[in-house]
Amino acid sequence: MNLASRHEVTLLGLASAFMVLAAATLGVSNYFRFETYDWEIALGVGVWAVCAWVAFFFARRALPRHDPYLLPVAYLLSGWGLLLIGRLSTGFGLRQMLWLMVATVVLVGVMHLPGNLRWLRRFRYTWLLLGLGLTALTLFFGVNPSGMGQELWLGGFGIYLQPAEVLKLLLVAFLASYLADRREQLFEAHTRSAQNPKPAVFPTFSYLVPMLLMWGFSMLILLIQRDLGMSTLFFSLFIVMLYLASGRLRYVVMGLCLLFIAALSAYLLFDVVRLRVEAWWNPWLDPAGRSYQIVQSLIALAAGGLFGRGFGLGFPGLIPVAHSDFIFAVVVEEWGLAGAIAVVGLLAALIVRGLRVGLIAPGIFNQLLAGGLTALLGLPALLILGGVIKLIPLTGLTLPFMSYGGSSLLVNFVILGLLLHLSNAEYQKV
Amino acid sequence: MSHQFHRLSLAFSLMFALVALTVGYWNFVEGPSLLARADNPRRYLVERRVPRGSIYAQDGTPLAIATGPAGQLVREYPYPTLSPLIGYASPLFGIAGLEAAADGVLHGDAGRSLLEVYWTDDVLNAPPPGRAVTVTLDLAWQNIVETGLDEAQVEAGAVVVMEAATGKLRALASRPTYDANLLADQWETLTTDPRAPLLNRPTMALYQPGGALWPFILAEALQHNYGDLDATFPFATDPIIISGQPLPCHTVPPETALTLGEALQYGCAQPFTILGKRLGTSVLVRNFTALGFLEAPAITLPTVATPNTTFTESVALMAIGQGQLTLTPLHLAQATAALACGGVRPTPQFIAAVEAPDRQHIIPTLPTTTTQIYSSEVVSAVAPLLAQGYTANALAGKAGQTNTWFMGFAPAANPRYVIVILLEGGDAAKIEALGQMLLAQAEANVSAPGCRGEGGSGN
Repeated sequence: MNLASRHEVTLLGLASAFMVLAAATLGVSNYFRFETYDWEIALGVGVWAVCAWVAFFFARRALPRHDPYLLPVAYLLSGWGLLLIGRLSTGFGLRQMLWLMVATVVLVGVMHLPGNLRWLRRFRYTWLLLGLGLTALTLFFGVNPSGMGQELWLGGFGIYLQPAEVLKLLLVAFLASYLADRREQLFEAHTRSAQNPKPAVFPTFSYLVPMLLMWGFSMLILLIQRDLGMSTLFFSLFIVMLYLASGRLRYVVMGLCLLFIAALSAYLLFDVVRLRVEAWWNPWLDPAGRSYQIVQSLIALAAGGLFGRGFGLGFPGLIPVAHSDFIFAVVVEEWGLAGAIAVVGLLAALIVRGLRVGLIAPGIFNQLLAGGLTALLGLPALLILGGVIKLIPLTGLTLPFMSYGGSSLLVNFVILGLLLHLSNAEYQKV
Repeated sequence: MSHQFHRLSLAFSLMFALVALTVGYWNFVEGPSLLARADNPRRYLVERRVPRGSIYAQDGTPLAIATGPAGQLVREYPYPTLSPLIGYASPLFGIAGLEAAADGVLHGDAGRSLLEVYWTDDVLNAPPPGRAVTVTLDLAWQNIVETGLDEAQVEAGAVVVMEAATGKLRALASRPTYDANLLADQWETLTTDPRAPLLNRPTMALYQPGGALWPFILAEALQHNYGDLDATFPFATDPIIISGQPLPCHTVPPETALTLGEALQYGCAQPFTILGKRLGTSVLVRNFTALGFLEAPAITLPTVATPNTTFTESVALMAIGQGQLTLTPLHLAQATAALACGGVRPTPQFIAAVEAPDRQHIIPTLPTTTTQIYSSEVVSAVAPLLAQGYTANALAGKAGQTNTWFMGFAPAANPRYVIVILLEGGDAAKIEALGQMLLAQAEANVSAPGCRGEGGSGN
């Protein structure tokens, strides 16, 4: 076993120890609070441990030189999230556990895919149109598993999938592929060189068009569905990919200006947006009505203190829908500022390692793909964390790996698998 | 292309750091104010498993207890008519009344050091149970008052029964009342009811004193040798114009020239306007301050006082109690005790004992007022005018509504109890009957000490 593998075993071992201790704490808390024994906690930890170590086993076999930090951190976050969701509601906890098992199987499958991901690069339009089609289906057949609210899911009989989650992955693949192929043509017009002493401000428009069209379709579907969190995510993703491909900050600046203009028009045009922004700007005006969720979230943040109330001893159930968007507020109330820093640190570690994969990956496509996939993990995390702590208005996104949500967990594990693949790629014959 | 990745890595790290800093901000900078918000039910949710301290009457009968299965304790109030006074402490509806005023003791954190609270409550999450509070309420008296109010079918009013010598409050009744055990079902109707059943009228409702103020004006005038009890005022029956409305005598007297004593008896305001003009605003304000009218009584209950203490109105209006000054029945009770008991105003007292962290009971010592407001000659001149009970009218702020006051003490020679009654929408016969019944009870009850020295056997 080489050094990286030994590191990974240590990390996964620490993660397992944390899970066992946390589950034991929860069991003791529940016993003293409600005088019940919760066998589901033990079941959850057991299933999680099996999933984590099985995934590690297959990762070592299929991808011998993969990054040793990504898998343990991702599993630690999903295990912690599993315990938190189970603490809030046994029903949701068991569902999340099932989705974790499915996600692990899919992860193992992704890890065994052919090494160079050429199939992803070649058929970029096919994949993207497939994603767009699935998402467009929600316009006609969309449902919501909770029975009310935006109808962004497809499915039935207890199994629901959110196509927008799949679409975001396919969009990243499409952008990575397109930018890798067309990079020089796009950006040579404004790259200073011997042939081009006076560079233009914008890239060559004709090459920009297909990309803009594809991105535009995605945004359109999302805006019609009023899924504003996803729209913001897609827009930011586009900016990040452009920046990674071109290396020019002007795209970031332009993109942010456009985002601001879009946000402003959305605020003026859509009531939903205006209500959200007003609830964010001054939640104290209507703390019992519209802003109840964010005010209770802030109170939960304050109730945490330095080390938290103790696992199972707080009152996070006061926050509506705490198991998905507001899982971070639950962490802060029961684990305190220490827990908050731990979660933020784990997410930051995930992002930094993911970007490192992009740094060392062979070939422009692999680099862009790794960068885009990491952004797919980091941007929703920042957006939802910012919303929960009232830094930015609330968006309906989920915290990667921790929040409740089957399709979110599944897609995030696919991203993890692809990143593991890419971290191994430099040692494969491309 | 590597510098893009480095820069992106840095950008993400900075933004995550910003998130962590913001959490720290909410936790430490805004933490205390967020946790003190009314919609933070955590303090009272904890009481579902850690029992809140009980409230007992003077004889040990529980007035509020935490009962129920472990982990799901609820607050029970065995005497629902006391609800405006005792209040409630609920995760859903907040906190009010005595439960609010004594919350530190009842919840269990008063008197414990910050470090100890942090260690047991936050780190170990094992807060100690709340501690008990005993109040000076005498349930026998309270039952007499409540029965009297029910039999007289009083819709809105307040009664205060106070021990004249010690200031201990033996009965406080408020009508309309509500049942704090039924808050979950009735909250909506209670908070929107225009008759305000949640209001504890003896301590929290401000009323125009009207005729109830005149004995004090009389006493003040005698103190300054301005008035003479034998002199007659020729125009005593003239009505006083208040905001265009005439205020005639309460009952029609046999003749137009009355002495001050007769003016009190028939409820004629005119002589008191003359007294007021002779005394002047500053003297009156000093008198009000000495009687404690301008500040909320310092007892362990939510209390109020008149909001505006700069008096810009005419002295005449001020002197007849129809000006800016508003009083609660409790204010009037402590002032009446001054007139009854040799000119010294007692400090009202509501808490008899408080349980300390070491489970011993502590009887709180209160500062007592010893300033002589009126000389004993004045008291012996004025007190007999009130001894058989004194009924007075006051025009309320709302057009046409009159409130009726009743003040009295018994026994006359050595007062043991002071009785103050207020009925909204005055009914003189009702209040007279109720007042006389309570005075008779006060005569008969020998357990309290008399304020002129002898007697008493109680605590």
